Amino acid sequence: MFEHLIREWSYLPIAFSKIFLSPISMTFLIIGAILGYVVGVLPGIAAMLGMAMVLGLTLKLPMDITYPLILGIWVSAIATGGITASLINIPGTPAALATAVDGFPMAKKGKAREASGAVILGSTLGCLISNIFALVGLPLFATFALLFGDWEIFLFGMMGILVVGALAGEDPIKGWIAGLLGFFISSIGMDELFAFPRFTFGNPYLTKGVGLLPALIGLFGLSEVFIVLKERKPYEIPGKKMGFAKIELSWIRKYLGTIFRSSGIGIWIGFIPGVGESVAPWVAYYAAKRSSKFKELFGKGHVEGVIAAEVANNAVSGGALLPTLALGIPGSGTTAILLAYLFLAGIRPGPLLIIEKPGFLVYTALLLIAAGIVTFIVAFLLSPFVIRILTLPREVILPIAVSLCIVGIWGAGFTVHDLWVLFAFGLLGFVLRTRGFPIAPMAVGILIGKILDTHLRRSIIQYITNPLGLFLRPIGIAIIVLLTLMLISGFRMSKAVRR
Amino acid sequence: MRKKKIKIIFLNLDFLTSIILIGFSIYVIYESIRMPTWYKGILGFLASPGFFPFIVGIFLLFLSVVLMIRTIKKLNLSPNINVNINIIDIIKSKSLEIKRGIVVIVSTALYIHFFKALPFTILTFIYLAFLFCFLKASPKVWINIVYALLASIAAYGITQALQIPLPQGW
Repeated sequence: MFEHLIREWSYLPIAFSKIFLSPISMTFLIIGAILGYVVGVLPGIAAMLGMAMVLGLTLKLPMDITYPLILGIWVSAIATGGITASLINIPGTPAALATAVDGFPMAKKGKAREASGAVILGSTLGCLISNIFALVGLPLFATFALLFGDWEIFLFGMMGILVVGALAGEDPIKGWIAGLLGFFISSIGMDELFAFPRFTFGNPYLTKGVGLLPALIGLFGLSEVFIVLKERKPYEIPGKKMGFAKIELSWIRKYLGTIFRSSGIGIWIGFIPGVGESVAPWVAYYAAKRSSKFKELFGKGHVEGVIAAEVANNAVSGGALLPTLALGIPGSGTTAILLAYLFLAGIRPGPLLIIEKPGFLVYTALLLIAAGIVTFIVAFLLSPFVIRILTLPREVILPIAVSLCIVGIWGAGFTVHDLWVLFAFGLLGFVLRTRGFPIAPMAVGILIGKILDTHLRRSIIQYITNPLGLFLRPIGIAIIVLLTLMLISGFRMSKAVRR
Repeated sequence: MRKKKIKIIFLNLDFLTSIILIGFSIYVIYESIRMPTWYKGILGFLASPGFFPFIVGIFLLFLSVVLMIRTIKKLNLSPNINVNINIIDIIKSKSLEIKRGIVVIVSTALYIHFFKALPFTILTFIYLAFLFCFLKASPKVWINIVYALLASIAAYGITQALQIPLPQGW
């Protein structure tokens, strides 16, 4: 078993040269980081929309180009959302909400450049620490996942959707309903064991199932456009110019404890499906406030508060990679899109990934580290233009995004059916979100439903003479215990954050 | 008074959602049971294509009933419920939002409907110009048209760069 682990780590030099010595990889990381910067800075446009928008367009291109592009957008959008939160008190992405607590008072005191600098530095450190952890931990976890059988994968997925549903939105009942609807959508089409067409209504198009790409782009991309464009909420832009972000390296020495604590919190929360980037910064912020020598300064424009929140929301990516890549179970909207991209690129995330695609885990972790470094440079260089980007009207950008989504879907299958699926899921996502149903559990349900269905029925057939044996498998019991602990810990953290 | 209260319950969108979900889950359960089995006995159903959707339907039914009961309880217990609630007032107060939402959704549906019928660049230009003007991206109409023209040319450029063949229309 450990030969896979050693072999995975032995790919590190190759992965390094494939990323850092390849002009193509670096160019598309930079393009991704620039796109992510725009998406992150503009209020109301989340990282998911940016990733969903390019998902369709990337199918025509080789993975050496598209993977850095998608990861660049993800890292950069999450990292730079805090800049807007600091400048105009409206977070660029939901993950940056906690940053505004100290970032905005800093900007009001005339320290907008310092606030932006703290956001950029904190984000980069969070991304680097968590992905260095992933570089070591991901192959280890994947090796452990090789012990999983059909039953364990089913349990992990089932418990995963339970946790995602409970924690992704305000109301667990609505979250679980969304997850179950996702499961139903995944069961449309031929079943994998007996090739029986389910819920197809005699429509030949539906026998191959609902297209993953139009469904996800509709849920995350189109629904977001509908929601943002129906409101007209102008925001006030402070001043006309801002210089380069001011980054003080002495902050690292001064707040080293906060940086490592927030990273740990971000990684753990990233590992729990459904909690993700929006909860981690709040937990880290309050942890930093509790243990800081300058408690009274928090909330009044203290740089430590900005760093704590930003380190945590960017550290989530490293933790979230573990269940996504090693088990094929995403825990959030962004990782669901990442997983969909990998499926479409012909890569099957799951316990066998370490055997089928050796070197891929370390390549991904290293690519995220590179994305963190590139984001740092791009965010710093673009910081004087942030005001100009904020003045870009969303009423121009979002309709263009719709056109690009439609072109992407058309290019993936050349069928108008797919465009209607995109539209139907956009509308469904819009209705569900306006009724308070979170869409991340639905996306996760669509992605893993078929896998769970097949694994469940296969394990039932294997254990038909001894059904009790299924419940006595030690790893299965360990998974149930672990995920119950996750559920409790996630509930506690979400509750504390809401309070 | 009682009639008005019942009306409010029915107007409550969570209640309506739960009713739709209950109907839908019953349909899923019914269809799952009707699916064929390949093994005999209990294994036959457990391994059949209908087993997973059956489980999904059962849980969905249970959660939808919980949602419905919770909504009814909330409406009954809350002393602050305004029984004179007027749906027309609500629509009026949100008329701009509703109008913007409907126009964006309908124009996107039309964009998709005519995707194969009209040349891509022209269709994209019409769609974008209409939305930019309607959403008042810029107060000046000619600026919106220039934006739309540039964006549709750029979108066409992207499709050419990625070698995506587009429907020619007509």
